[in-house]
Amino acid sequence: MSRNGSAKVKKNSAGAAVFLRVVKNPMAIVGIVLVLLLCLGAILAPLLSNYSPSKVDMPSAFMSPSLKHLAGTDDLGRDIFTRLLYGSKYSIMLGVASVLAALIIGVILGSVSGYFGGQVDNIIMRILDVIQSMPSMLFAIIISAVLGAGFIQTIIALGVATVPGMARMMRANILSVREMEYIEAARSIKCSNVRIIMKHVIPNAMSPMIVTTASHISANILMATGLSYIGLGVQPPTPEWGAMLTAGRNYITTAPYMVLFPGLFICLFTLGFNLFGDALRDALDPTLKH
Amino acid sequence: MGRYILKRILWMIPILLTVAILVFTLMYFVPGDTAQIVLGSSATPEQLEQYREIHGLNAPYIVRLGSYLGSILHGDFGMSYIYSTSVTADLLARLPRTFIIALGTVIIGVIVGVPFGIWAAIKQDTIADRLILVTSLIGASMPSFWLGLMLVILFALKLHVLPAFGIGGPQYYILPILANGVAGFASNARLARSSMLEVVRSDYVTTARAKGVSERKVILEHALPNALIPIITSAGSCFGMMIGGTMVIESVFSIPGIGMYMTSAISNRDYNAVQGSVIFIAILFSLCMLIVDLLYAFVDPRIKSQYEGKKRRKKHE
Amino acid sequence: MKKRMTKILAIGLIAAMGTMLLAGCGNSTGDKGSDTQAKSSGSTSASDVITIGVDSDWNDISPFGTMSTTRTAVKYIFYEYLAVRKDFGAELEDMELQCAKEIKKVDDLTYDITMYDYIKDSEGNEITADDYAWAAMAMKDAGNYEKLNSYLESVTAVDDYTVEIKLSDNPLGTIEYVLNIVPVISKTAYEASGDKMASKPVATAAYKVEEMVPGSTLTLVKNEDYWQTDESLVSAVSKQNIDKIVYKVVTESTQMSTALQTGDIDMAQYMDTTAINTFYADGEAVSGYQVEELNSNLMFSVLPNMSSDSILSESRELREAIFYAIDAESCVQAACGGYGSTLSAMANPLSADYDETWNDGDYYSYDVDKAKEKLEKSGVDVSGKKLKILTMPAMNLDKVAEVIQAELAEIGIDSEIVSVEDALYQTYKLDSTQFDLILDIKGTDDFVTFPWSLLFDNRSFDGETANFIVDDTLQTKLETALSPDTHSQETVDDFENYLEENAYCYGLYTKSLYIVAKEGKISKFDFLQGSYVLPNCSEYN
Repeated sequence: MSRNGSAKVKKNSAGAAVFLRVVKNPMAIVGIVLVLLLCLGAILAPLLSNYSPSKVDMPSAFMSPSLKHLAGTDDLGRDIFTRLLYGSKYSIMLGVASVLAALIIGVILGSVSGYFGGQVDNIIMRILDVIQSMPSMLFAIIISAVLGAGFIQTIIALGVATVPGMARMMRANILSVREMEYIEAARSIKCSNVRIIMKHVIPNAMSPMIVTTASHISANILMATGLSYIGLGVQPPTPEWGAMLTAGRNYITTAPYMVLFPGLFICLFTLGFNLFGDALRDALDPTLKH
Repeated sequence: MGRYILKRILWMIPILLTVAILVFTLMYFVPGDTAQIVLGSSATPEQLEQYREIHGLNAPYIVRLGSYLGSILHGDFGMSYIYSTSVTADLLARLPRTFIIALGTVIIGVIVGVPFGIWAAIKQDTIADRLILVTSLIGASMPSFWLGLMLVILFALKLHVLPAFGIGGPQYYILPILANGVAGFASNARLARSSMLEVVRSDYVTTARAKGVSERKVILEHALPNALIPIITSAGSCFGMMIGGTMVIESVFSIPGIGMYMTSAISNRDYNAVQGSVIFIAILFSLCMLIVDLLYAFVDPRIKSQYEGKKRRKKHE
Repeated sequence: MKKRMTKILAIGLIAAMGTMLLAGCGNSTGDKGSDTQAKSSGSTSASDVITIGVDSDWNDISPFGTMSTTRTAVKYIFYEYLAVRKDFGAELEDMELQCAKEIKKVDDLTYDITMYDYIKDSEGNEITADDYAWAAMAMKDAGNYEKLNSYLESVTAVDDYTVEIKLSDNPLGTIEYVLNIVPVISKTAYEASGDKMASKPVATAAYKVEEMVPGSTLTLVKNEDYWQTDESLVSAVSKQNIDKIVYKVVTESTQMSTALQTGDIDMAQYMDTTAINTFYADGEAVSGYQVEELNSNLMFSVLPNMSSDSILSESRELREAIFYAIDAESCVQAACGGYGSTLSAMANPLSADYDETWNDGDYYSYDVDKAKEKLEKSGVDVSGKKLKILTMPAMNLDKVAEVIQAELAEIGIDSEIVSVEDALYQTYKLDSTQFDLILDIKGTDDFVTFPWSLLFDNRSFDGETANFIVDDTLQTKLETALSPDTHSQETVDDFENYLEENAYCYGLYTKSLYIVAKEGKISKFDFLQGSYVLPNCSEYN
């Protein structure tokens, strides 16, 4: 049942061609530019803004967007745009770190499971069955409750909830790669299992994983906002976008910019990753091209 | 087929039991002392001790786990510490509301999303296609609770056509379902579009076209059945997202469903209520996945033939 | 045909999503309350029903359940008591008699109460002195009410309709507390309910529970068989001015505001200060609404951890430095948009024994220079140390922590915020390793001494106070202020001064509460303890 819908495994050499195809796709460029801009904003935040992301300034609370405060100020008088810039770091990290962690664990579990099969496969898959019998949001909620609120804790919660999907997908890819002739060839010249997995199986099974990674990053950022909303996200005053969005929800009618801009940043960032992910998928699957 | 269903249902039992053990264990490690929470901060150590004794909170982990598993096998999820009501009764009372939202979400996601995606694929590169693509991209990028709040402002506050929160008639479910469903719609439409595109370009469809089969027939009889396979697989995994989404959406719309019950139970450290909710959702979710698998088998002739031992259906040439 | 349909659908959907996005933008700050007249005209068919949005869950409506604000707001409508404190801090002689016909003080610790001999609940069970004696002891045993535990010795039935209440000690307000907290219910009905009356209490009061959906709605209807048939004896809490009362839990403040505007609810108890601007401007209700501004009996304060686990215990000057660095005004702003007032002592001005002279003194008035001076004088090296501020998201207490964090940074004290949900907060606050500063909320029932006893009485915390102070002088002074014999302006003053001398705590602010109703439905609000609307006693048009 866990079979990857669209991506077909391609030969390794296709890397450059894939890159070219991605670059030629205007949607992909938009996506990449969006993501890069936000990352750049995170890095250059201190240069781009004169305000502090955490200094409270009550007299200037609730200022509507203006040239002085591009996105207005929040209920504690902090410049929202500045907080969004500084917050990019946290939000991007939440998405990227949790997915990368899940990717690494997922790839290891999936590879081991898919390559060796038998009992190992059985055990790993049954464990994943258990975790996957809960929606990942639910699982993330429970892990967050156990670990408590906090940045690292949220990354772990999101990561753990993402592992099963990754592992399953990797296993399916491995299963299809395993039967390829070049693996047979490697086996016949008595390469070690580790060597075969590392050198041949994983690289060939990875391309669909990259597509998944892009879409999971956006999904996890959205999941993080959900966690923030029910009070299980990062600790204040961390300017994480989801937390800002949640903090602003009480002012949605009186100071809509407090909700609008964090929402917009989340949208743009996830949109960027979605576009990029789509382009990558299309590029990896040339049958979709005219 | 019957045997397969039975096997799958039986298989659910050990899975759900393991879920119960897992959740119980996780909650065991959640910081926070129920006795303290219920009795307040100035309760004396003796009172705390007495409370723990009465509610069996003192027993070692394994004993508590054992008695918990024993009682859930009898369908008893224990008492809620905060409401002092039966968790089973609470959950059963709340189940229909969560179910309606989940079902509505699935309908928007699958029954609306998939045809739109297919239609976009057929009309590839037209304005309609672009519009659907962009809409679904935006839909997939919005936090659902944010969308929910926006919908409330528009439909309840500005237009006065729908209630803003709570439960009542069917109209109370429209906004929550919409808010929760857009993400599912978006991902299913995108997925349906791309699988359809893939199939439309495949050799057998080209061949069918070359043979002069009408476009309508090509789509309905040749392309669609094949495109549906990956769509169903992924629609299944969307259920998780949709049911998970109700956790948040119920809080936004103050709908007393399982999600809201669980989130408030987590913040109150109402262990029995949390565990019960998780197991309930796991059951609901597993049943959904079973239906998806059956559907999958129904659509994919290769799999169907595995259960039924019938001869393979003729492949498209 | 089909194609066209789908096309229309697609366009419709896209249009809908577009408008959605616009909804957020189009709603500028300018139109506060401007759309009030466009509401569905209040001509909802059932004018004999009032729907009240409450901002938090009642959690447990069973007779001996745990305390919560909303529970207090609703329980007097379907449970009756021997006597009720209708007004804030009412003393025995000012209490509203309900089931008690007569209250006789036998000695300092003993009271004889005669009940009416025709009390029955909504299911017709007759209630006698035995029921009450059982209820009081059962409530004490349930352990949810520490004051019963500490001071209620016994309740016994002298005859069918007379009970004797014996206290073990009688600090201010104890007998009032007991009479006001133990519901008069039938033991038979309680045992027959099977779930400790958790889902459907059997009412003794003027209203009975028709339906309760946990966490969502509570529907109360007039009890046609209300036992008190003699109208001249019906208490001021037990009127039946409306047929049906529906409580709806609305925790989102945006939703509360929307619900009131759309007519989903008739009244909000309470409208969060983040949304109050829509209904209340320049001290007046916006047309179309009625607003009641109430003073909350809550007191928000910050307490230093005085155990050896925290550097704050090392120096009074350090604690003073912190208190001077905190601008209480900013805290009020952050917590409730300025709808509140700063405190001048560790006390809520609402309390009966509040000393007005406190208002004139200097109570840690915000002064960064002074704070820096004190910090230097303390000689404690705070560089590289990170103070932990324990707080919770409830009532914007996490925002206050953010303000304090930023203000401490001004004087060079680094801090981190530990914001946890209520349940975990209750656990962490008992653990001296979890925080250096804790933000605390305490309500008062009557006197300034009430929150003091909850925070500083070392008999409740194994010889320490809530913030781990071990100080015998403090305890002696507290006991002197608490005892009815020695309770006086001087002893209360003395204790407060001692708190300040040692910088043991800093009372920050109290907030205002807002009840907002649609205009035209209610002609006169009636309140319980100055803060909860009694919908059954309010008057309607």
